[in-house]
Amino acid sequence: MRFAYYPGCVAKSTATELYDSTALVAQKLGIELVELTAASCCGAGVINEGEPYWNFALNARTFAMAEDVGLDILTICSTCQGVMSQAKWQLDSDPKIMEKTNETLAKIGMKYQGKVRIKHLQWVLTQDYGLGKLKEQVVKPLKGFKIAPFYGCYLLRPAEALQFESHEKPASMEQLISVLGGEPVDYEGKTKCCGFPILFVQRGTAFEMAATYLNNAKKANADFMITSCPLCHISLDLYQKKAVNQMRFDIDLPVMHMSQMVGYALGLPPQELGFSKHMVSTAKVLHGS
Amino acid sequence: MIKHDVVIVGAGLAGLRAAIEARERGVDVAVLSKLHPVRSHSDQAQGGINASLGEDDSWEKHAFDTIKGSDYLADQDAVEVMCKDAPRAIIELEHWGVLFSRSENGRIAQRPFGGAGFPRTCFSADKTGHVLQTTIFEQAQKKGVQIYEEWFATSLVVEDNVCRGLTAIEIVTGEVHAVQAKAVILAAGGAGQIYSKTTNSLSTTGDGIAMAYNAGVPIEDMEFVQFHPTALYGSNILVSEGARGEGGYLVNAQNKRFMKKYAPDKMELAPRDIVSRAIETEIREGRGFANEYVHLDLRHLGEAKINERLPTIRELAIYFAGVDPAKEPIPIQPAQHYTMGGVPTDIDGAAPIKGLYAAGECACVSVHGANRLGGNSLLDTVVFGKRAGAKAAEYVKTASETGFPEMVIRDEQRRIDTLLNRKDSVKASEIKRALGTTMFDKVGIFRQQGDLERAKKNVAALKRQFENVSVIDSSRRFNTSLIETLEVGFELDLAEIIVACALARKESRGAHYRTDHPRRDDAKWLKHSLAIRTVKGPKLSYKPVTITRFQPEERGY
Amino acid sequence: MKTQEASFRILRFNPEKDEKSHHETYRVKIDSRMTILDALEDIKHAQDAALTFRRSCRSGICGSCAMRINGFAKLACKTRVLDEVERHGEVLVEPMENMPVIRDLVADMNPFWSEIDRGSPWLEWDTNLEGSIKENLITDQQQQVSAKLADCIMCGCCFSDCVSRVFDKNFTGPASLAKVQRFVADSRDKVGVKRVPSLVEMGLWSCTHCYFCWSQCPRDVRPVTAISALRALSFRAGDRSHGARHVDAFMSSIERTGMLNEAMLYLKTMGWTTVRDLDLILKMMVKGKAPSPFLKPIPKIDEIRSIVKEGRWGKK
Repeated sequence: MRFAYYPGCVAKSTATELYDSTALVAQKLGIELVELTAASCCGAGVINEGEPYWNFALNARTFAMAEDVGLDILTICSTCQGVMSQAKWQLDSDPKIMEKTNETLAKIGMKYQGKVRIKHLQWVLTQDYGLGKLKEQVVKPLKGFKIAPFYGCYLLRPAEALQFESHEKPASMEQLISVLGGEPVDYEGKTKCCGFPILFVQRGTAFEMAATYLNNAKKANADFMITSCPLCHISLDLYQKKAVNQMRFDIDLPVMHMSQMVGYALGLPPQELGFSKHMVSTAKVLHGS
Repeated sequence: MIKHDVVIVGAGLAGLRAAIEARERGVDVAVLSKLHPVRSHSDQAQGGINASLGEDDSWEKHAFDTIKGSDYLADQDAVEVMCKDAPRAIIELEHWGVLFSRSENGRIAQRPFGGAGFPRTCFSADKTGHVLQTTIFEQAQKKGVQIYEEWFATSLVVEDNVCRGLTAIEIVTGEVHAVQAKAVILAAGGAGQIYSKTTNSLSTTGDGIAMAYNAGVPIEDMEFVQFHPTALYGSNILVSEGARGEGGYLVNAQNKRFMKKYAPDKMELAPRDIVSRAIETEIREGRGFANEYVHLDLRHLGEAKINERLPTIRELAIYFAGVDPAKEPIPIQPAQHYTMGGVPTDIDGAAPIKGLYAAGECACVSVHGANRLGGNSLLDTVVFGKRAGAKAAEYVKTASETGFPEMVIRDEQRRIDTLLNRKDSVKASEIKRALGTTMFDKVGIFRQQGDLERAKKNVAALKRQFENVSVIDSSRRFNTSLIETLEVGFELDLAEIIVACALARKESRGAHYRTDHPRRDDAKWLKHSLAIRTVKGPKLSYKPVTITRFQPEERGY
Repeated sequence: MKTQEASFRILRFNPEKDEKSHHETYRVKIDSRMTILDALEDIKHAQDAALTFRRSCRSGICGSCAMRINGFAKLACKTRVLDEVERHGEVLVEPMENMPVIRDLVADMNPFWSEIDRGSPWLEWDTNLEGSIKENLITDQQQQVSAKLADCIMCGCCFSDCVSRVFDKNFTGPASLAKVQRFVADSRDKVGVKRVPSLVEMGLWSCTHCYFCWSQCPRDVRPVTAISALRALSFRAGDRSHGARHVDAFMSSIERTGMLNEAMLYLKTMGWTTVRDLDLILKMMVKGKAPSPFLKPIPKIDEIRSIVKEGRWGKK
């Protein structure tokens, strides 16, 4: 399998452990990642609150780049996935927006044709690669681990733009967890918001959100939490202590990137999966991490 | 004691328009509504609102279409007032922010509608009622109109032939209140829920008309019940006449556009009574589907047009009938839709009791006579709502306070306590179900002596049962079982009137069709029915129709 | 039609006799067409007259029957029982969130209405037009944005499920902001864009883009898109509150490097309040997680700058 790889901004700066673990997992599974090094930031849903047309033009440029190499796009960040799925959905359904966007792209010699598909690694593993095939490669099953999936927002809603799974009862994370030998736990808030989008704007509220859902996961006896978005990871891991202190909870819940969990189960060396970069230590949960 | 100069019952289009008018004239006005205003049934109207805005149109043509549509029972002076005022009323609504659909030049677009000789129905896709209700509520808020939200009016208080006010239940707490007023405007809508198959919301239970009847006001023309030709089969949710206005076809099981037989000229856009009878006949004579419905075919309009002009209908059909109108025909059958009759008023909304006014569907001016044209009801509400508001405001400026009889509130409290405390007996929902079936089957689209007499007996029996009705839920807090029970009481009162007037009127006119008296008989029956409450049931009398410029003629389409 | 039995677990609370809310279970015979409302009416009339809920039009337009079904706010009359059973196994019915409960499934919508009122939700029309016999000229295209937002039936579903509102009671909520945008985008409104400045203190930047208001709206109004549009207007009008500064920092970063310079983004947005996170920043540096404030532009940065310099579509 080959993909035009779009790691996003955060995986290359604040969350390099995501980038590194993804590279290792992809290599192990034989998924070739052709990185779109000249692709811009997707805008994260923020630029359309400054200059809406940038959202279409910048993302259409990324789509065109992938189309030029004849590959679908692979993302590892839910926010990138959500933003790009929405942009694509609007471009594909509104001829006027498509026309204006391509007028802009024409000036730099590019054109979005509407052919590319955009998929998150989580979808690729559960669907394109296949859970069965993945299971065969598991070397260190996560037996005995209770794992709390945190879907967040951008990978689930709006469902008509993402076109993958039900936002009310998603299953891809639970399926992944199960196939790797772990036990998914259910808790209130797994499809709600980590608070990242307002972390720099209204910190107190964001902290309360993150702390509440971490607490619910802990009360459900989770050993650790997983997320498919590095922004969620910032909110849930990087700021966990501050969030939890504000709420006066007593939580020390490790939060992993989904690719790290997969990498661990595939037997990749834990020290190479970047666990040491986390604020909340994973060592007590995963040996060697 | 709650006291206001003007109290309006109902926060739909007519009620709020009256409130805005009264407020504008500096009068102390309050609105009582058993629902939050935006939930009012006006919100559900789909197709449009009529006005002779077109250069080649005229209010006289609009008036003629309305009068002919009414099968010549409408009071022509009232129709003239409405049609003359229509353009002003529409423009006013547009200025207030109504998002009318537009034609290419940016002007308010108009579509053809049933029984109209000119496309004069202004619309907002197929959500006209929603857009109008939203805007009128916004403007009422802007004016600071006071609204008693979720207050259920239980009786109209009249003493010495002067209106004193109302009794009402504050639904959240269950407290029974006396509401004193110099003037009351009834704008509580129609009574569709009397019928088992109706497009009307579950709240449309005829409260205003029944309260007036119980207070001694004669009620007019109740036998004229409009059946809308196209309600979704099964759920009876309305499929707007706009669908036919945009070019939809009515087709039977033989794949024929059968309206050619019944109205060769106007076809699907004949007035509603004619189309409903046509559909019903097709079904009865075995040319329907499953002996239950016919098809409304919109496929030839194309998906783009449907999405632009009829998006609500598309969604309703997909959702509630499992059919996408862009790909398949919609299964439809006639259902009760509108109450032409109601509280009699003059052209200013004044009812026969001093200090009492009415507007909207619960009033009978009469502008709709024996059959209402589509698009005229929304117009009726804003034209006569404004006039009633103005008249009531003028009245209260010089009227003296009349006092509220204390006993009334104690009696009302006692009545409600009895209902709440009566042990498990007969349920209101069962009575309602039986009533609905009797009315639809026997006092429906086609009527005849035998059925009507059986209906009279059934209604009488149900009324007796109702004397022992039990609410079962004895709580005071937000007791919807109590409200539903009181509503069934209102429905029974009105059903009695409908049956009595239908039995008495031995002719067919507009929506009242008797297979045993199929001809219109102007010589004997060109008159309005009036029913007044007596211990032995409704006592009937009649009053003449006001004719100004259009002499009654043969009515063909 | 085939029928089967479904289990309904309904949250009950009558302050007249209950100390706290509790679930009660009912079994109902259902077919493929029944809606949640049909089932509730069934339960009320055949099993428990005290079950209390609002309803009126039963066709998805009046907004009365909004409630939480299996954890998500929806209209009971537009939700099919079978769909819920197939997805969740049972049907859990509870009143809307973010509002106190009056009784059973009846929520006290006053918090919702108060928020709507905060935005002066009516057209400020030109009173010089009073008595005029001509309508304002406006095309369907021009009123497209307003028309979509005016589809709102004020049911409260978006407000109920708004994640931000749960934690921030000052946030006016999606419906209220969507209603403001309905008027801002209406060329007949004399106030127009001047409605926007007061929105910052109503929580314009508190929306967290969880998209619940989009997914739960029974009329497909998509309030979050109205919030983004209002933010863009606020930004353009010179808003430099925290949220707007974040947008500004974002855009400069993209223009300069094509990517997010997270360090600069953080510093520009937080300003001097960065001191609160000094401990965290230090820890990040130790772990090699702190992003560098010096970021090289990505390859082909000229293409991005060319796009950015184009200015606003349709306006120069």
